[in-house]
Amino acid sequence: MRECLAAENLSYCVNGRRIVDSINISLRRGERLTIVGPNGAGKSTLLSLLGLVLRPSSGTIWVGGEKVDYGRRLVSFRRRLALVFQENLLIDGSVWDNVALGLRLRKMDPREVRTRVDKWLERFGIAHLARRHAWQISGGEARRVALARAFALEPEALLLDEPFASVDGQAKADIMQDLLKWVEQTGAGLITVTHDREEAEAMGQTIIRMNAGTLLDVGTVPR
Amino acid sequence: MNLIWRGIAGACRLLWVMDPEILRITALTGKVSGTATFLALIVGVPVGAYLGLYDFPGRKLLVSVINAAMGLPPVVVGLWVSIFLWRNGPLGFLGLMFTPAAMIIAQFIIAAPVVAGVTLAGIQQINPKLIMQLQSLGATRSQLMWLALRESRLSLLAALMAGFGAAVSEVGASMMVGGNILGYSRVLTTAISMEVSRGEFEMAMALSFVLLALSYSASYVLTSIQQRRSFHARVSGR
Repeated sequence: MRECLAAENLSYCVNGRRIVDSINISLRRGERLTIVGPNGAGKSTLLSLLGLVLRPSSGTIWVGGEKVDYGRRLVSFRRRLALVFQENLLIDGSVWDNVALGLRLRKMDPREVRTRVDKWLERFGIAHLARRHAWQISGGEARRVALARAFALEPEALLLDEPFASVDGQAKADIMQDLLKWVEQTGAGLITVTHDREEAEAMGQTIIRMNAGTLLDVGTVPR
Repeated sequence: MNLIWRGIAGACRLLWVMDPEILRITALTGKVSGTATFLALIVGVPVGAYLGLYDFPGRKLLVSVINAAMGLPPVVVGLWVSIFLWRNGPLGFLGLMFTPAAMIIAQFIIAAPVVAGVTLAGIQQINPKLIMQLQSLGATRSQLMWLALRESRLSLLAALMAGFGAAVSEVGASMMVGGNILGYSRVLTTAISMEVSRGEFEMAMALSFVLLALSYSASYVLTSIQQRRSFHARVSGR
């Protein structure tokens, strides 16, 4: 099966300290991978490297089989992925504007933008908040907006950092179910970083354990 | 004390009758400082935003130059603009010396680093993760710059106020390159300076009231916009 995202010997150093150390990772289309590990293990940094917003100190990344170069084509590589950080990071605007942001940056046809945004607002149960300003919604609602914004891009691979940190109860179960359904339907790859063991097992087919920037082991979740 | 009261009374009389000379000087001040601030925004905002968003060799040096230039002495600017625009100077052929255009150039040089510096500070206050998020959403360089400026627009208003304040309040450079010619290149600051040297305190005070009113009303409008937004942000708990 074709790999939608892969990395070889990926390292990232800050002031001589290795935050991520020679990591090899491969994500096939439709595959769900979860990264777990203690605080400071380098999980979020690894996700930022894979999301192409940090430049590795060494190593190579491939998106859809194409080697990423950090020059002129970087934006087009980034546009094939969607990264959701631990913080919601919404812009100053309405909920609708936030979900539409990535599509507008791609200069997508406004009718297509409307269709996609409305679809994902509906699926995340936040359609009634569409006109509300991003400052006027709760943390859990903002989380859904951040996730809807990434989903609306319908990327080849979705990278989520602690996606359910501020969502609980039924909402968490609903979003998780939606997410897994979406991955199955679109065949996109999914990488999730989490602290929660149950979440890790529910979200991933494969679990990677990390510590001190290195990959400890890889396991498969029994079904 | 008597001098002050006499000055205030005379100034009020001149303002009440809307002295044509005062009106002309005020209009030219608005035109020169307004144009200089506008040009400073066009150059200073993108420079400040680029320095705030991207790292490149020589960035630190450039930032330190801008920070130093924020306190550039106007007379030094006046001296160098004069050297360049003087009849035998490198740009003497343009014939701009002792014209309002020369004053605009001098005020632009004073205001642009202020605008760039305040913009840079505003951009650097944005959560770096938000910048990364915008990049990951597929923003190109120009889109990222636009979005970052949009996110820091309260600081942009501060940059506009600081730039206009620097331009409208300087006197040394305008005096040197504009020549303070009556009806042609006389602005409020140069006129005040001249009236004081002549002992015409009534006129000087009247002009100072106009300058303060001009500066304050521009600040008031911008502050109102800025504070409305920042209050909105505070009450909604952003």
